[in-house]
Amino acid sequence: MSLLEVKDLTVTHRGKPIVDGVDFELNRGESLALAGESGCGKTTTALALMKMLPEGLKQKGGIVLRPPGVEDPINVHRRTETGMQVVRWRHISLVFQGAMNALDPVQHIDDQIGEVIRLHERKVTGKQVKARIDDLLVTVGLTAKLGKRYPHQLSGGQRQRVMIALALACRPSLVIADEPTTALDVVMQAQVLQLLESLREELDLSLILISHDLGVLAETCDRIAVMYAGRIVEIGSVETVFSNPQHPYTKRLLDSLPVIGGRRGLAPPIPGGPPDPGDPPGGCAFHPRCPYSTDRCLEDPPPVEVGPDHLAACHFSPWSSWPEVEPQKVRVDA
Amino acid sequence: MSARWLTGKVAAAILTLVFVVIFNFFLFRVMGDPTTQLARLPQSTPDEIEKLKADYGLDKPLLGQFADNVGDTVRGDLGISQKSRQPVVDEILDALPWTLLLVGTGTLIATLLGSWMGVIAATRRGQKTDDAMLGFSMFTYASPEYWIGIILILVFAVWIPILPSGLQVTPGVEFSSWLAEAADVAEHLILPATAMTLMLLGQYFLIMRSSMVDVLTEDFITVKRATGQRWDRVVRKHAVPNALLPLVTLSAIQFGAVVGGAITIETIFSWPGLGELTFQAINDKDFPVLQGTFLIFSFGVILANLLADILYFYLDPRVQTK
Repeated sequence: MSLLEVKDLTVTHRGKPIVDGVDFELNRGESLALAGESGCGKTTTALALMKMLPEGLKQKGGIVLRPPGVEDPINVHRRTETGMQVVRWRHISLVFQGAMNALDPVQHIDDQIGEVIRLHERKVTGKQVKARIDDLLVTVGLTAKLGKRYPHQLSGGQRQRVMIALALACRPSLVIADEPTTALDVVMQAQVLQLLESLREELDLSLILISHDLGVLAETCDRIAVMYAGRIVEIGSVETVFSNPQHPYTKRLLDSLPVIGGRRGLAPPIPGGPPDPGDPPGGCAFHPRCPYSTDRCLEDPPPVEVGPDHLAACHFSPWSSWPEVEPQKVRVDA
Repeated sequence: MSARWLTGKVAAAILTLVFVVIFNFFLFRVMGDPTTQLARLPQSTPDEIEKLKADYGLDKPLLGQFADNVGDTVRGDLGISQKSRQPVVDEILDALPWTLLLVGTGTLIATLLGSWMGVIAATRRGQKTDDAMLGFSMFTYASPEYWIGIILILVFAVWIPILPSGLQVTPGVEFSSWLAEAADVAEHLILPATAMTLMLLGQYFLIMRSSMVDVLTEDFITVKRATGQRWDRVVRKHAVPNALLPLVTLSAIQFGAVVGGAITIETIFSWPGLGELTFQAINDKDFPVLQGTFLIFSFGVILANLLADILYFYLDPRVQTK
């Protein structure tokens, strides 16, 4: 049974879709990558899962959570703000992008962690809270005495570890990590990713990892969903999608990754820019930038099953091979 | 608190004070020979003028006079008022409590009310409440405080005569107890304190509002909400403590500045504080009193800045490691 089931999730701003009919499932202990360019709706999707969209954005569509140990499934989409307050952090927690400002600057670390434990577990004693905080800090590779510090007294990497400790404080079954390593240097990135990965195995967590960094996602995740203009254009296991991409956007995205030891120089860019969120081109939103597009692409492409647990939303999927693209054929008027 | 940090701050404050004493002395010497001010009667004889100079120590060279002045100031002797013939220190000490009462009341109410309004407006940004509060505070901020004072007198002392128009206490009344006297003073305090509050409120409100608006867009606010805390709790426990920092500094610094800035309000309400003392001294060309009040005003600003620094130290942990 899946832990999270998202069905036809749509987020609109003044009637225009920012996220447009996103479907996916997430199993217990599984990690799903959400990849795509800035503005494609990754973060909006994540916030919608917690019903935390900023004012002016409206969400529709089913979000069902089945945390282990909870009998009835939680219908997130039907919950009110008050109803969501007991779901947030207890079942879904968030590792925020930019560890720098994600913690309250005038609150001690241990107070920030203790606060959420007390909030969700009414009967917990002060001693237990203290023990839990120390334990959490040690779990994420810090020492318990750091709890007495303020966020500004920690390094960027330490702050991100504190953020992870905070996310685990109420033992949630799902952690959403939104660009958890973006503000960190490469060494710290690797450490934080390893930490997330080992914690996921240890605690049987499900993880949704949002990043534009395909390298990061490939190392950490079981499955990947590639988003473009508010839609999932391709979803499948990381191995399959990386070795056998079935959507031109995924293909181009992967081609843009530099290969260590490969030919030096810049990878061919995807021409044009991402479409205006809320006003994407009709049909397949990628068609103005796609070297293979035809008139058929002006129609909405349905997701096609191109392999076991591998969907791609392209009229021409499955692609058996990718024709060479002449640079001239690339339309840059997108 | 690190002792070094505190020593540095105190040393800077003392240094500023020393500069003020030096400047204050020479400022009044630039205005000319004080004896011409003292001997205003045209029939003063040279002998009388010589005697005046000797009495006031003005026959000594300038640096000698300065040394005397510094010595007297340090000993707490600010000279004799030329008008009342009372020691300036006594005049200031008589007026100071009244100013502190008025400025303290006004600052306290303006800070509390301004920050409360700022939180309300920022959390309802763009809504009617926000617009109304913005309009009101812009209006009071832009209005001169003496004009507000006059309007208050006109409305609440003349048209609807429910409050006294001036003074700190009803003259010629024997009070049965200190409580009755305090009540009478409180009644007299209402209008000037309201004027003072309105003078400060707009600025405090605007600072708090913009500070809140900034803090509410911070990532940690989203995180706190994501932890399942109720929105009003996020605002109260996380946004307000962070947004309060600029306001606290401002009101502490303002408190010092306003001790002198209360001149117009005190004059309009005949409030016997430092402001009115200064106003009278200007009218009477009573230089020793002016020199004394200037010193106290500067001292107030310097002390308030020092206190603001120390307060900030406790409120913002980020200052402590620097």
